[in-house]
Amino acid sequence: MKIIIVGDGKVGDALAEQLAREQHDIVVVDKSEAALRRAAERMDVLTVRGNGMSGAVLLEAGVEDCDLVIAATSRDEMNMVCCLTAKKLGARCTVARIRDPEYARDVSLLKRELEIDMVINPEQATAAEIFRLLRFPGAVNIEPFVRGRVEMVGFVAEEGDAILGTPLRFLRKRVGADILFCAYERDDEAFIPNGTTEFQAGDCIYAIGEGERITSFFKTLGRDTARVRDAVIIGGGRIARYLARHLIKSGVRVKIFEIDEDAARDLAEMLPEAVILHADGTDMEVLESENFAGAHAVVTLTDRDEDNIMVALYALQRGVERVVAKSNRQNYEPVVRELGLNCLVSPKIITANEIVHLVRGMQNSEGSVMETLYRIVDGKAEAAEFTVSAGTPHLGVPLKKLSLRKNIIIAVIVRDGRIIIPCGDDMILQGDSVILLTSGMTLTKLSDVFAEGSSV
Amino acid sequence: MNTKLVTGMLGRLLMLAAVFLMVPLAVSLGYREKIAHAYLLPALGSLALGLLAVRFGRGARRGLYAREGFIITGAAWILLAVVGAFPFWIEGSITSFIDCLFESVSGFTTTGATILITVEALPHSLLLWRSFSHFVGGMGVLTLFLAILPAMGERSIQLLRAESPGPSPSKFSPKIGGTARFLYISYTGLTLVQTIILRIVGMPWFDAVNHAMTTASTGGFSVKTDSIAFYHSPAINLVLTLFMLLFGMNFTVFFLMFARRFREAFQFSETRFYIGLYAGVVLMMTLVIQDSVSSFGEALDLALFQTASAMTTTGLVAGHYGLWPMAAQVLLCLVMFVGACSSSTSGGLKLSRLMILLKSSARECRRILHPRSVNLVRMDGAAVPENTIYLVTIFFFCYAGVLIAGSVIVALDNTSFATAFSATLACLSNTGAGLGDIGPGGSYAFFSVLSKITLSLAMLMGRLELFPILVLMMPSAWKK
Repeated sequence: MKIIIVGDGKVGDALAEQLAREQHDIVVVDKSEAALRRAAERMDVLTVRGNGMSGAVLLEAGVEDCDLVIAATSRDEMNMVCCLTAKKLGARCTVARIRDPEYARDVSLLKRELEIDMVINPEQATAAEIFRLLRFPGAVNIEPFVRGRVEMVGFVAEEGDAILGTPLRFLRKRVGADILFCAYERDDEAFIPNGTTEFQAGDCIYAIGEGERITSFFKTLGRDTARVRDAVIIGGGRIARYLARHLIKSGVRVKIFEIDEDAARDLAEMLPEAVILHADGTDMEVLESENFAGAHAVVTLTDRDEDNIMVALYALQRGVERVVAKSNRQNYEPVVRELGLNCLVSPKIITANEIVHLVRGMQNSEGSVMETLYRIVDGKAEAAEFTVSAGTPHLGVPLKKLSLRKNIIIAVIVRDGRIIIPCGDDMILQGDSVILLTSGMTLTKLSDVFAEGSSV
Repeated sequence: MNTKLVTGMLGRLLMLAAVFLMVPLAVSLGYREKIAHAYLLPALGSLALGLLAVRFGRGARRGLYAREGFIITGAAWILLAVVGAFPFWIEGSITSFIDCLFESVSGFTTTGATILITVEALPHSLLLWRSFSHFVGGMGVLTLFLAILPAMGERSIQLLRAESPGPSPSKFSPKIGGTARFLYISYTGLTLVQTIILRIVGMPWFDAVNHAMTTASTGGFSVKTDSIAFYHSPAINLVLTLFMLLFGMNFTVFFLMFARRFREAFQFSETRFYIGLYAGVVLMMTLVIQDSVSSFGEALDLALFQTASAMTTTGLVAGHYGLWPMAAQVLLCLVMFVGACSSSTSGGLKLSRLMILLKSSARECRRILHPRSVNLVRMDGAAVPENTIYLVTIFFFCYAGVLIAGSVIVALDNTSFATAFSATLACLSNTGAGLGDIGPGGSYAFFSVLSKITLSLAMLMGRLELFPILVLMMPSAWKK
């Protein structure tokens, strides 16, 4: 597909990199020569220098015959005008990044009147992600599928967990057949497990199943600590605002540290139920005086990745159970994980992923539409959800008779609202939703799953 | 340096070189020349070496950075020239290996400087090999790589950048493979068209194919010792002039025309400067030489041809310009020095660089008059980044520096100043034809081994725009 990305900032860059790797034709538009040069050196993309709101620049970028325009500049208004102009000039689809909460309320109006096909709010998406993480204590990563009915949860196995040291085919009897271990990460590599796999302490294991089943699995694992009742948020930016709303709505007491007085006032005005502290959240003294260690969850959301990580590590050391840190830099992740901090969220990756889902969905090839796609383990493995249509091969054939490619697992089949963790006798039928896990390759359509010359 | 990656790439290049050798092999079989071994042996050798290198390069770390890009480019061209020298050597018409290497370098770098005294003495297949090496070298062998190999990785722009002429690589389709494919398709297409037109105006098929390849790559090897003067045909001169000028244009212009973006295509200031400069020089040249040729018509014909030939750094010869007034010869040297448009197959300094240098000089004057003014150098309506201006200045210095150093070394052979200087200039700008002893009908045969090596290096530097070769000479390039 031909995709124009306007604005080569953090999100634009992550998107361009991701989409170019998936063999799309990418044109990046930005005003900054330096940013464009950096992009052109690292990625196979075409760059156009200029203001993405201007029709001439968009035409130069080839908007007339492009499939998708993504406006990801730092300014909402620019993104809106850019999408509007692009649409009028012939772009098939447009996506705008709109982050101001004032506009966020008018999303449906904007979508209708400006014909923007998708509005993405990085802060809101990040807040939603953090909220999900806080709901499952012990989880590193949670991804919803089938509109939230199925969840995939990643957690780190600890010494003494009941699931360690037993081959998976025996484990299934013990854990029950309604959740599936679909992937694991060891030594920075992602693997798809098979019947002989034995988990070790330190592995990051991904389990998939219905939300309640996973909760009860966590209980048997002994990870179900009390529900989060108290949460401390360091840094009162937009993410904090959205997150606090979510938390308050679900009955959590929220305490927010904000260093800027005016910002703290605004927060206090907007979130009357929350305790807003005008203080430096990186100052240990201040944190201690506010009974920091007694909180059930700490979320660090300041502008500086390093501060976030340091405060998060401090919270872990003080015995806080749920700690989530925001970090836009990907390369810190392995280092920090070594120190025990498992939950790092990156707004730019979350945003890029959401748009990548849309792009995948648009690639409506061979009838089987990809609904969602998640990258886990630093992008080394992928989980994708497909809707099965009549064009898919091997419909109605029991799975044990099919030969699948290596490193692929069919994790869940959803049929008429029923969730099936498939075994050898199950089959894929038209109309099903199928969730697949792969490592080391990129799926674009359902038929990629089957090995060459697979028997029918 | 990522040794495995570099070795793997070079291995693939050697295998490609073996494929190239199949072309003259087919011709030699067609003409029943019984010298198939001259092509088969080097082809097998380079294939074997290539397979070994590819084997060694397996499992290379990804990481094609500017350093690797430049090293691959520099080394690839040297290797290619060495492989290309073997057919000459095995066939035996040229006895010394250095001479064979010189001829091969001259071919791939599209210089067209020859050490042959009578070109017709070579068999057909070898003549075609010379022209074909021009053709491959013209658009670039790594560009061909990018065109035919799918998805060489995100950073393969580093290869295109190191090989493509001009201050910045122009990429006009989102995918680098697409850009490279467009370049090769339009290049090959235009070459075929030219072959047919040359045949129509009376050139025999074999000559037409060779001269089309030599023009397309702005090379300069001819299949006749007298070059184009052999034909005494104004029609042939005109066709060749036209195509030389066409191939001296920035290929982006062709792309824009192909995409029906005519307005943008004609707004390219470099193209307009190119046409303007060409017209001006032709006018002067005609006036200067009309007394030394028989008629005004002939003067115009020769001025058109010879200026195009020098400016696009082709180096074909239609008239004995060695007998023309000195002013005409100096003019030829000047246009040879500046060359034609960037991102074309021509050599030399490139007009866009000249324009940036001229405009920066004017800006410096403005700055002295108005010290506080904000001065920008503009090209095509946009400000040229300061870094580009800096790079152009450095390039100009290095280009002039190599020219002077080369001239001094060549002058050790005790030739005339015109010969020493124009030989270095002709090689560095990839023109081939110079003044004095290397003028029309002349050859590089009499130079010493040292001069031949120097000139070969100058040709490579000229084709690759200095830095890939200069970088190879830096010890730190070879460090891990």
